[in-house]
Amino acid sequence: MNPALAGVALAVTAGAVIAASSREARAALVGLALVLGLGPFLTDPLPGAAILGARVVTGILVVYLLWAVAARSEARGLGSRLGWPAESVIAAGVAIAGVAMAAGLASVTPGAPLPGPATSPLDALTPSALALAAGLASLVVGLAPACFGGRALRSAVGLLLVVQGLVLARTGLAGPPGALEQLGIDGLVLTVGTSAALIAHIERRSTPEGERTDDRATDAGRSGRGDAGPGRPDPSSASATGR
Amino acid sequence: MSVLLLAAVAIPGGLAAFLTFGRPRLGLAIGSVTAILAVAVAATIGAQDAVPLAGTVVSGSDGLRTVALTWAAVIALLGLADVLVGSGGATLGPSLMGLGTGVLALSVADAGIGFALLTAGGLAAAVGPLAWLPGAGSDVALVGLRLLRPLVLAGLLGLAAVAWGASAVGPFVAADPFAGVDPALETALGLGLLVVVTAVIVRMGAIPAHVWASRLAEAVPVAAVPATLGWGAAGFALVALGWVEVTIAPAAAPLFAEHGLIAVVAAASVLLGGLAAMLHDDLEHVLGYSIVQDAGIALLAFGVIRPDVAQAGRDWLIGMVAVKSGLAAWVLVTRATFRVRRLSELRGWARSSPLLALTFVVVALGAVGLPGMATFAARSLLTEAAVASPFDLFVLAAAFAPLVYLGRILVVGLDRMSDAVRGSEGTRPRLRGFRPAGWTAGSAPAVAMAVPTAFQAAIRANRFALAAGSALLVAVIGLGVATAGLGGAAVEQPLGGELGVTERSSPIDGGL
Repeated sequence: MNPALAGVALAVTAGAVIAASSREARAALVGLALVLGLGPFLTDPLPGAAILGARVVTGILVVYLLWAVAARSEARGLGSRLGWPAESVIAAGVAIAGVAMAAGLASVTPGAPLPGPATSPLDALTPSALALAAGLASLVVGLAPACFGGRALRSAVGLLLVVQGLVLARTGLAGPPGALEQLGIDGLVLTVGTSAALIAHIERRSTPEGERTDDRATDAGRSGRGDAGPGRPDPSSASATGR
Repeated sequence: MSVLLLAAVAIPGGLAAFLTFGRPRLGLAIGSVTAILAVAVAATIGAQDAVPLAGTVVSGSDGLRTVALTWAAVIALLGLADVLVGSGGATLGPSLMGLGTGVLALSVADAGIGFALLTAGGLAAAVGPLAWLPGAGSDVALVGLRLLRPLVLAGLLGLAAVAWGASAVGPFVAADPFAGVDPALETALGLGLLVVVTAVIVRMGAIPAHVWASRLAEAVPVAAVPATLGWGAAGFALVALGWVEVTIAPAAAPLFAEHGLIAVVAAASVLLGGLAAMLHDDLEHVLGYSIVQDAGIALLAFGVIRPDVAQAGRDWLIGMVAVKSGLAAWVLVTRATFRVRRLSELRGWARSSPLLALTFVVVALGAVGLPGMATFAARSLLTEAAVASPFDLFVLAAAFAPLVYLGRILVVGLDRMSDAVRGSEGTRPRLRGFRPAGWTAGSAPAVAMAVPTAFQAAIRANRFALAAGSALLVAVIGLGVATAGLGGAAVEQPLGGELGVTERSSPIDGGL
């Protein structure tokens, strides 16, 4: 077991739980920063400095964008209904399952050494196992906000947890991605974060301060809405010189 | 090198055009220059382009040139129409970003890179235009969230399948070429195929994942629909098709149940998508559901794993996306010209605007197809190969639904003109009234100073005619691509062999 990698995996998992369960925007985004900033280190061997730098900077940039959107007003719709203890238990359970899966995969890999009789349980915490464990934990705790988050910020946090979780799980299952795939993933994280921040910005500038804000209210409002889309720009207002 | 150059032009240029759209003239200038450059660079893509980049090979091909050139030209022409009569060009920057990432994704053999890049580009193309919708409020934010989730879900499903394929339990490691297919591996192969096809269903908006596509068609400016539901989704399907050919096909597992399920879902999309396009009255929904129907036919390419079927799927995808770009351009200009969106209010549109009528006929010709066209042959082969007889005849008959739903629009257009149509400006060119007063008596400097003003006035007065001309060009390009297809680009064309990086060709050229 590599203690540094184990610490990183623990920090990523804790960050995912904080991001998914915190009702404070600041705490949720700190948790997200842990996941996005430390996730790229959860691989052995580490990617090149340029790739690693790009991934970390992108993670910080995404968190900054979301913070810029959420900073000026109270963030709404954040927080898990289960609470952080339940989210932690779920994350821990999934992480243990991830380690077990990684051990199973290692045993079917052609050419893999057979485990000796005196192996310690900690030997199961290989870099692949840690990546798979942290990835699955992040993915699972991010699913609920990603799918059912009524507000843009909560959905953004959930989607980014799911994306980063899947990337880590992919690292655990199939080894580290190549350099260009890392950059593709980097672009995906950046676009998801930017798109979500944009939607959160549109949502924030149009929401009156006194409006009900919990997810249930939002979902009820959504289900009651008809199929009519938002107002399309009036073609008559368009002209050759601009909008 | 030209592929990289295209990405290097389109992605930053599109981003700059998007970010500066708050100052429309600057944003439009950047977007226009980028679009023209993208067309020029796309035309130079060739089969000899192979550049090692970050551990893989970025390679061009004749098929990729066809796709990139058509995609770039459609963006430029649709962008022009959008500037003249639509959202003012809000779709130009995001569409260019989608073009850059999409072409880059199609130029590499690794499906993981392709799925990641196409998802990123699709998000940019779909969500970007929402930022500049006038008066965007909480309803727009809700629509944005509903677009975000399926796009991300599709990308993640694709990445998950790629991760499984490359893992120790994937076919590359677990399959024994001399011992037949292990039952457990066959089950895993079937699940892998279903996961990728589910990703394609979600990404293309095929039934039963069609709701988001319908919302997209009604929520975003029409010019953004081809970039998101058309080109980006087709690129995604091409990458998925390449992955299936490389990962699933070599195992030679029968996968009867999985193929049957895919055929049923595809047939449902063909039947119900066509039916919905016939029943809906507003143009955006007709456009959206016609794309849903096309997605159903494209899904049939996953129903049988054969090189000729895969090639037919590629021809169909590219041809239909090009044709539906023409339909989107027609919808954009028609809606702006007559200021109505419902068919019941569009009586006599073809009599009022012969240019739009010509555009529509070209689009209809491409959508219905004629014997000898690549898409016509592809549609026949896909239904025949993937659907059991005699049901294939029903599906093939349903695939000719454009005859009905486009024919209905044309019949309405030839009817007596409605008040809305009669009261519109129309698309007839206006050649008089732009010369400033005192032109003949004025001094040369005064005349020179007045020319730009007169030019702007002429463009403003003829904006509907110019937009209709753009739409006609898009329709003609679509008809050409639907006729020629990818030009038999499915030949085995292994790339990167000399460079020792990969043994696969790009998704455009086929995975085998």
